[in-house]
Amino acid sequence: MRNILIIAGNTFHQAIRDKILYGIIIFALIFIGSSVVISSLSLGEDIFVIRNFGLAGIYIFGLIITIFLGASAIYEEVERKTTYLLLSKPVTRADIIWGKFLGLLAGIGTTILLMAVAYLLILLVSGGSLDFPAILAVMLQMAEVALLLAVLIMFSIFTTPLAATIYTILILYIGHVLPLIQEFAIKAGGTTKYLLMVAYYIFPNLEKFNIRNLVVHNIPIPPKEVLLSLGYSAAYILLALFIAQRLLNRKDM
Amino acid sequence: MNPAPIEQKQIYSASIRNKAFPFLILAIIIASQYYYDIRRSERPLIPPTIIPAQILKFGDLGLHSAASSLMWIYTIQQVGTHPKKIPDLIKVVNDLDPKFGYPYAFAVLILPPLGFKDGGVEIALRGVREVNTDWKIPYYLATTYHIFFEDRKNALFYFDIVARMPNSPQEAKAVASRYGTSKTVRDQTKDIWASIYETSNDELVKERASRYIIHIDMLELLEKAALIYRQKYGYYPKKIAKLVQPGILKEIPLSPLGLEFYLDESGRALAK
Repeated sequence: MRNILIIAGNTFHQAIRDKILYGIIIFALIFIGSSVVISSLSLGEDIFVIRNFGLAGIYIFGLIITIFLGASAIYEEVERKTTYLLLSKPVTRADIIWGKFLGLLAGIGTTILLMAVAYLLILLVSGGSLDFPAILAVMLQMAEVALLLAVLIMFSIFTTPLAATIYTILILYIGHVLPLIQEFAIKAGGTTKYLLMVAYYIFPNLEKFNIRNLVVHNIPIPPKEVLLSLGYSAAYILLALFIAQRLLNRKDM
Repeated sequence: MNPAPIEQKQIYSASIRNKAFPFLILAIIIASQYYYDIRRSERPLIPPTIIPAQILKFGDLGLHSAASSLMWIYTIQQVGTHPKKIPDLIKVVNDLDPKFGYPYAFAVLILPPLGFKDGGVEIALRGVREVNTDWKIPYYLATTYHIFFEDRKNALFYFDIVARMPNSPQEAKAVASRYGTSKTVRDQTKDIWASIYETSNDELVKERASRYIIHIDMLELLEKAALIYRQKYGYYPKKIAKLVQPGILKEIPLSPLGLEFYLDESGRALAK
């Protein structure tokens, strides 16, 4: 555990020192801030639009940061041979995977927290109240981001950062259209139905973490549903990192 | 001969050129943008493309409500330029987010004067089903039934819904519960528009409401002037312009709705 925490700490410091990350954060804050200007065009629906665009901004820039940081996580370590240095010490490959995952997640979490604070402040300044449901939405977004990060780390072991990015974007896209795929499968029937249903259950269903559409209308979210989504994320992370660990074990280093 | 001052002069002018160069390029960029905008305003406006909500849902990564807000802002921009497209655009907004209440209310108030009476009502009826907590939808729907359809039965039905809604404001509740008891339809209409003006945050709706109120005030003013004319001459004027000649009115007011006033035989002011 100590090894994991040391690797996580180093990864975290390395991640938050990246200058490109600051560029993305500045763009994210500009985007969230600009929701005030955009909302003034909405004919009196200002708070609704700020909440919508604010949460969408946190989500989209959170994803960009996740992909940017996660895509080269292991690949660069192997390329730079720093993994060899680590493995020469009493550190296992599993420690590296988990350390990297936790470090990057902490880095991403910090940036998402920063964006969420900016969003809450903007909302308060614009005449809104403290948006507690939005905090829950951001928490579930973190669960989604953690899942994607685990998948990214898994991909980054056996492929280049560009390919890992493309695969993850595909997973992200499929993950959000799964409910539509399910609808289509039910209508289709026959073999197509079974093939699509297999895909429906295997791919990560990222719509589970999307409560933003409910939050902006102040529709209550059942706690059971939230817990189930968090459990789903944890299970998927375990699976992805387990596969990542196996792949790293097989890698000739 | 001393070459140093010439060399210094050359260095100096090169330095000025280097400093001026980016500003020159920036000036060219601004000028080209300005010229482009002038040219663009001369081009015919391209009608908005209506992308079905199902397709948008496939590409918005689950951010349906944010996509709906974006579509809503885009829709508002088209009110002045492409009013015929507004019903379809509002449908896309609410297909993306059926719980977004304001577009339903906006549609039923803004579309009938644009010539889409049935379209506006259809959108609002869906709104009443989807968002049963938003008082504005039944209120504006009742207003439309009252003004544009002269359908008192449906107007009363939806005003009654508003009167019973716990979150509707007092102004709207008062009008809704008084509906049918005012002495004239015009009084009722004025009351309704006044309450819409009081309760709306939307500048477009406020402006529309104030126009109707001023229009009704003008009708009342013309009828009073016609009565004075009758007291003076024993009969109502055949033409509205006659109210100006004896000095009863300085001029015939112009309706803020762009309509033309006239008087019937009984001295009732109307607009066409």
